[in-house]
Amino acid sequence: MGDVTRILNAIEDGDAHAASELLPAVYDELRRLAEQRMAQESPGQTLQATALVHEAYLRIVGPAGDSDWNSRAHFFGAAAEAMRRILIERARSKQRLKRGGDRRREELVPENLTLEEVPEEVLALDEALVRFARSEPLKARLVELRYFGGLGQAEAARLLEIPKATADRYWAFARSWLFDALKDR
Amino acid sequence: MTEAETNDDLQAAFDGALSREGSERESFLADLMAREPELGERVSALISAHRSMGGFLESAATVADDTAPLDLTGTTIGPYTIAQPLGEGGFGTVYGAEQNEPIQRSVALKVLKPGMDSRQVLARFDAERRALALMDHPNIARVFDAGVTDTGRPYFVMERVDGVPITEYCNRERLSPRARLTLFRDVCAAVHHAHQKGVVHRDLKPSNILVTDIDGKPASKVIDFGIAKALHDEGGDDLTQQHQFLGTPAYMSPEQTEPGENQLDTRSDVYSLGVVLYELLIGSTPVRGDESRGSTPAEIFRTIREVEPARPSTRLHDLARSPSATDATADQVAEQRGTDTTTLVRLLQRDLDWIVMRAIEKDRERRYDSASALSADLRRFLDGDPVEARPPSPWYRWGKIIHRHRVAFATGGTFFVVLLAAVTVLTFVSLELNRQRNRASEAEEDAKAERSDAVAARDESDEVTLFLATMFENVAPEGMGYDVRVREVLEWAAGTLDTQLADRPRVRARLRHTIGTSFRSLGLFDEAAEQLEQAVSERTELFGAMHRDTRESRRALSAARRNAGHLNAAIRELKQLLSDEAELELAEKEEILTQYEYGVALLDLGRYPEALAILTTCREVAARHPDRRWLWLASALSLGAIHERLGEVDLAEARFRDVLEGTPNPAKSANALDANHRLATLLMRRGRVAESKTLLSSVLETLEKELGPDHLSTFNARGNLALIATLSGDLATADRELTELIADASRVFGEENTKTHRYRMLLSGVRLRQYRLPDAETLLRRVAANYESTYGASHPQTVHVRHQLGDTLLQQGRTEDAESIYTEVLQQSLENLGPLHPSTLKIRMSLGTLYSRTQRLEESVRETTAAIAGFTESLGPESPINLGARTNLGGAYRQLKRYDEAEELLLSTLAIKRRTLGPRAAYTRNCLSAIGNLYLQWGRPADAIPYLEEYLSIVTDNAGEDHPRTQRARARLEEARRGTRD
Repeated sequence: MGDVTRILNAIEDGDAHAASELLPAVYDELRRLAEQRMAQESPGQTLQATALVHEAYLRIVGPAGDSDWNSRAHFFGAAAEAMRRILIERARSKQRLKRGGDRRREELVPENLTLEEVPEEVLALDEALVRFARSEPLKARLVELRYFGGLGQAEAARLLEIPKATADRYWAFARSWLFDALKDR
Repeated sequence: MTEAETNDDLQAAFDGALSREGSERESFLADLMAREPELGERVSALISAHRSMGGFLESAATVADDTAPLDLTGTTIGPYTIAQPLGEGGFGTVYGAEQNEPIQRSVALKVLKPGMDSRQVLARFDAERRALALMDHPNIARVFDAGVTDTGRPYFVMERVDGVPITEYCNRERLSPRARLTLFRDVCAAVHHAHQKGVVHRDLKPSNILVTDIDGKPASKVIDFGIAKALHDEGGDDLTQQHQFLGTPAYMSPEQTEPGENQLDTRSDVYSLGVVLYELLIGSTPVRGDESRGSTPAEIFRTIREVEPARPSTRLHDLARSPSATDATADQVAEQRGTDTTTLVRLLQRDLDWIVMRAIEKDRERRYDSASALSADLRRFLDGDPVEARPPSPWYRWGKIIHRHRVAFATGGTFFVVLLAAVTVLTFVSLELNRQRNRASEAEEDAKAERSDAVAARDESDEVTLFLATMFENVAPEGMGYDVRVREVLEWAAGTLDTQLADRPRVRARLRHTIGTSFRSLGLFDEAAEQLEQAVSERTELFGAMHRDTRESRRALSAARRNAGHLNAAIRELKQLLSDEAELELAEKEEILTQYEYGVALLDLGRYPEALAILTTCREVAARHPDRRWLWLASALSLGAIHERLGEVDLAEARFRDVLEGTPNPAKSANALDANHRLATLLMRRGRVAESKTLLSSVLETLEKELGPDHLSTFNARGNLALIATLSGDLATADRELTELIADASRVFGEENTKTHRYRMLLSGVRLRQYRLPDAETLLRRVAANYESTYGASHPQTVHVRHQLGDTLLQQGRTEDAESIYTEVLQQSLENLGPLHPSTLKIRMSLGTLYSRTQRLEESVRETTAAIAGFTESLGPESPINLGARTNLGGAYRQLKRYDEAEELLLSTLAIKRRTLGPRAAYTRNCLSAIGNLYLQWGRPADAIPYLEEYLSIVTDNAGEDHPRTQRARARLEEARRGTRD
């Protein structure tokens, strides 16, 4: 039985302290899983957060229905945040690579200059999301669950304990807000 | 209002807008904007984001591992079996593949890297498909198909070409320049064919132009037609598209590097062809690797847009003299072309240089208009015929010189125009002189007059251009501020006139006039007046006082005097000029030139009704003459300013809008910028804050884009925005913006430059409103010292700053210091501007306040009443400034215990303010406080409470919770509340 399962069980047993241990555990699991999948697949592969998180859930907790909604909610809540961290770390290390150590290989000559802004964009989105969360914590959480956690709207709404219609309104608002915040960059 | 309520409002308004469509949504937003400008603005921004965001965030984040290429060897994609990788490109991998059905053939398959939106790529490719199918040319590789792999990556299927990039091929085979040109012309023909079918390549570069040997002869194929377009989004504003930018900067046309600029046409390809040609001839591209290394993409783009590349022969010559560590040496380059450096340089000089430079012109209007035109000129060169491409004309070279000195020119907005005018005039004059001289020499030696007129004309104009060019290039650019540089140049030129042009008095006088107006454009009014005085006397001597040219100089001289603050002298000279011109029976469009100057001088003098009449006439007359459009605009601007002062806000607004709408490119017109600023300030005063901000922000955006962040106009627009923030009470923003602005201006103009001081003046206004009085005083003293040395002690600008300084001292309770400053500036203002000028009246108003503070109440009432009478006469009873004076008078009445008079005056004033300026206007603060004080002193505390409450909230906003001023306001409110309980 892995760490995550143990913690989820503890949460179900009402151990309030256990919830704080969940994030690091899920984070480790997801990272390990992502690296494994990357190594298995051909290089150049893209993994979607949805697939990754759901696969992690299946492997750790088991098929849906085996566990109650409460632990499922906890798991996906933590997973969304963990995915966000993983993506940001990747972006940062990519950026460092661009700027620092590996100068020789990454030399900026016009010939091989392609403007891939991916790491910058992930970081910019994260930054905007932090700002958004200051005034709209609930809507920011919705974005995290959907974009980083790969949850569907209905599931995310249920997890946040808001009606689906409200989630729809929030989702349109949040996307517009973030897009507006990012468009000037 | 709590945070949560704000958020809910925003969400609700957003939902409301989203649930409506089209015009319904527009009117919903307009309503909202009118009711709650800030909320409305925010919702509009969100809605426009919603409109353009596409699938933003819709699909979950992906973890991509795109560090290694994906090897698909052995797999099948649709009907294609992948054989082996052929190469690695910027945006994917190319494989050799076998097509199995419907026909058996070898193809090349380009599979894109992950991270692109396949649907959009395919949609764009589909849009291009029909055009691509029409292309049928031996030098174009066909694109057969496009699709998506199982893993969701787009791919393209193309004719398989086993060649090497054209540059590599030519070097490997040591092709001679002529052979290279012949091969290159095939490429031009292929590109032209595509253009005729409506397909623009957008990514032409050596690696997309492959060459193979067929029967011992090189054959070229252009690959990837239609692919670059499929990879780019036309709108360019979709976030998800930005990181899909691909391309090789060295070959990108300037217009391709413009953000959001995707209006590419065939001339963009012509540019890229020009770069390839450049490289074929001398082995490097115009924008070089070592210039770009370590630069950000934005810097490289700027280089492509702005830095003029060396001609091929020059570049090669430079390379021969100072070999670079990274490039091939000049000898190696020549050797690869089967020749030596000297021969190659000589071959390139003139014709080939011109052809290449015309192909890579930054301005696409100046390029060859088609690939076939470029090819045709190359054919002419190969055949030994004269080529079409020409070295740039002197005018054009002037443009380049100015462009290089852009920052220097940026400092004097209209200087650019003046300078061009100068060149034009000088060239014209010099042509005339030379024609005379030629005629003389023709008489002597007819037989020798072989050179055609055209050639002679060009050479002579070159000579004059050279004189002006020397004027600019003689001055070392290092070690001096930009301002100083242009100034030094002009001073040097002015000094040179006597020695260089002693035998050409007309040219000298013309040049003198031009230098004078240039000084004026730079804000160096005394220098301007000096040159113009001399121009007037030189021209009077040459042509008489009434000659057109002399009158032109007289007019310019009066304008310089007016700018220098010598208003009375200006008026005197203009009156003389007007009476001289009355005798000449000039056409009306000539007449209004002087009348306009006179009207503006009257405006500066505060003689508004007269100025209004004259400028109205000017505007009407100018409207009848298309060539006086500038005067129509200029009059409208001045008229707007007059109406504004007179409190006729609707008329003022209409005139400013005339200027804005009548100017084709408002961002580049000083008049339009001024009108924009004045209109924004006016809207602000009328409480239309959101409109005002939108107006200024949009102008700022345009300026930043068109003129760059360091241009004076951009700085001024930022200053104006900060001023709006100040006036609307958003002091924190104003403070931050101005601090940044001053830092930026110090960097560009210098810390002690008058322009920088102008922004310090604005900051002092913020400090005053924040009640940070000692800071305001320090700033004002600094500005005053600078203005005094720049403009002189009695110039209206200087007087204005010192008046402000007096106000600051008064607010600090230093009444004696304040009084001595007021007395001094009042005297200067009376002499320069007269008794009815608002500046004079404002000083009297300040004196009135001072007297009331020092308990000289009768004197206070006298000064303030005089000011009110003056304002009422010159500006009208409801002008904003008059309302301020009425508030002061109310205060004085209160101190004299004339309560009924005070009450009537103050309440009616507040009502007018709220009516004319709008309920949200920021100018009600003093009036509220005065009414509160009145009722307190009168023993009617209950009546005081609502006014003091409103006052407290404004002061708290402005000065913060802890400021003594806020505490005093709170204490007074408490006092009133206690009063009601007792």
